Amino acid sequence: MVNKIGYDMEETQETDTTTLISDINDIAIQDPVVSKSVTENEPVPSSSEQGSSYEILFDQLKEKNKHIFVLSTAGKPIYTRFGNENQMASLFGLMIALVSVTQDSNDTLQSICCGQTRIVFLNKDPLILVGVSQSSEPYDQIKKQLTYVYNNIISTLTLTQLKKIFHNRTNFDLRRLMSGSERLIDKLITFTENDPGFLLDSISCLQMPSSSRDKITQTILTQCSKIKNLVFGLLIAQKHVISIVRMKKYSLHVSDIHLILNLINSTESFKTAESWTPICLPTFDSSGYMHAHISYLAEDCQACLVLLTIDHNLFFTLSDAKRKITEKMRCNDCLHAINEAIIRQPISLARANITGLRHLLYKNKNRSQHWCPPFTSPYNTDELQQNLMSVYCSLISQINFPGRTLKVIFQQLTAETMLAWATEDVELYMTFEPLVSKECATNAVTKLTQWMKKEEDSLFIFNIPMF
Amino acid sequence: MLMSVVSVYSAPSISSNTKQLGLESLLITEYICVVASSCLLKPLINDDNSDASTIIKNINVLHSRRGCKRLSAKLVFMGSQGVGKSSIITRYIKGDFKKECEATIGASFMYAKVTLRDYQITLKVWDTAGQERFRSLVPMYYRNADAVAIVFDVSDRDSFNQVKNWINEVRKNTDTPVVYYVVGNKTDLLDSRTIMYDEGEEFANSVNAHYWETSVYSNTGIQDLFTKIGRNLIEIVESSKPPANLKVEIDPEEVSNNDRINNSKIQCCTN
Repeated sequence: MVNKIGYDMEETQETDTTTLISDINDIAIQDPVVSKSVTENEPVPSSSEQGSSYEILFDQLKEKNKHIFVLSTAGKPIYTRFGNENQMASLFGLMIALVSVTQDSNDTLQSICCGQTRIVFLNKDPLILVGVSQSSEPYDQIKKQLTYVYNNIISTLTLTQLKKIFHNRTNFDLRRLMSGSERLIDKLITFTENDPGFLLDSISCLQMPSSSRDKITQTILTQCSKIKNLVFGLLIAQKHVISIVRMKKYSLHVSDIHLILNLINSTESFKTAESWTPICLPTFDSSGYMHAHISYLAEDCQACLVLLTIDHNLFFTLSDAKRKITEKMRCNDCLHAINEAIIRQPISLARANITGLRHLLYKNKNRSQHWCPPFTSPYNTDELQQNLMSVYCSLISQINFPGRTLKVIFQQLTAETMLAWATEDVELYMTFEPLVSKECATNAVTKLTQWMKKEEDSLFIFNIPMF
Repeated sequence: MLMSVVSVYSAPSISSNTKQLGLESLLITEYICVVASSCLLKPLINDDNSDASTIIKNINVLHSRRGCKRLSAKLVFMGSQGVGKSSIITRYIKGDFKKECEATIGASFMYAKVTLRDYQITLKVWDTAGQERFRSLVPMYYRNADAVAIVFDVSDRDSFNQVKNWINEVRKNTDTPVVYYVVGNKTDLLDSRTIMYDEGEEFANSVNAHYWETSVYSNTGIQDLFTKIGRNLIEIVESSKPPANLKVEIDPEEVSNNDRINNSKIQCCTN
């Protein structure tokens, strides 16, 4: 059954994209100004050659489910997730044409829907971001992905610099300044596709006894509180946060933490040396850089400490603080506790002992933290996990639909039964066996809530001290 | 005195052992002994072949007896993107080489140790990012630098043309004497090489800089680059007017400095 739906989908997609290709050719011919502005630096191949090379290009692009393109408002290509943006001149030309046609009538193009394919536009002058998805993701989800990509560009350049560059030269080729950071965008898009934290606007914490976590936080705090102009300190293990400390009055936004996590998890060289990196946190302050001292605690403890400051002369102070933190943590057994927490098997849902419950996402709304237990049978393959994530995705966007106060969704699907449950403090998305009744599912909520009361101390960070 | 120590502790064993570790030039000539960094020493010392470790220990002992002169200096690597700055440094400090090297973000910081005559030089090495967007931040790193290595790729003329701009920029913004090195990297790329030795050297002379060539891939010239920089720093310190920012400490306590560096996280050998 599922396969059949997949097959149908593919077929419709194909026809849709074909229409799209013919549209592109039409526009390229009808609107010579656009094609000229984009291709001015490229050698112009003869029209028949052009036609066949585009066909090959589109065949390649069609194979991928999700595309993200970034271009400047002058139509200069900046980034494409797949392929080489130099070969996509007329595709970028089409995008800018669509945006400017709607702009001419004092309107903004938001999205285009054709069959299963959704094309979403995000106009953030001087940049335009375009997302193309063939997996019928919710519109808001694609838009949020585009915002993340935009934020990542801001985090490397700052909004002030970006605006200045394009103010001075509208035709600037931003790729010159972006070089080396494309891989961060690639990784970030993959993160937005797989990570429940992106869907839930929350972070995942490394599970450990709250006493150990408090000891770690206290050790970091003692060192950090003495340092003037230090704003945030984060301790990270892979995709999970161990501890956060912050300066009074300032707090870190979840989407900024996601950018930091992505930076650290996609840069191997942080493991070999102390790094002193300018980074702009777009939600915190998009106008300027902060300076990040990034280093792993020790060769035998792979947790990464990030210290963020506004003072670019603070490197050696922070380097010294970091050394003291590591020494102290070695003495009071914190390094050992972190290592144990990293190696330990993540807590399994089976421990809650709820019949029929296969998987869940639990979000603590006040803390913006979530818990996603490891996938168990029958979700053994990437594809099945991905499918379940898109079911979650659709539930999450229904629960959080602006202007609507939906509290409970009960859905019986072909392969599973889903229950979404939202209260003031908690959002809960549960996956059950297909034939579980409504009553049984709501009972499970009560049982799980009780069980979580016992476990949440180790799953979430409750103490984020200030200095 | 050093010479005699070396000859007593069987040179053959050290040569076989070091080759195996890719540490080709543990030079023990002209009373010069290059000890890579404490990082590289650890594998040597942990190795079954205890002869090498004994030699090094004895050399250290010798130094402390002599009253070792300690010199700490700031060395900054600069140059266009992808010329191999990070690779040179990692090759020297860690002894390894990765073909796929991701772009440095911002800058990274490491300690490198050079032992030369009776000097123990701790180089505070800044590895800066070559990307254009980090250009405006580079002054922050080369301020107060004692030595600057500007790296280019011998198969990429653009990167060679950039060297002059880098040198001018540093000259303009620093007032202390700086040891300048122009480093041609990737000399293993014989076929695609476009800047020959003579051209590189001639250019370096014209801008009052030293010239040196390296290949991280085939591990040539790396050790010598750091030794040469160390030797130049000693020359400056021993000159009639040593600059205020470079100070020699004569410290008989050998242990304290070593420990400090070993404990710091960037060294890979905390056990």
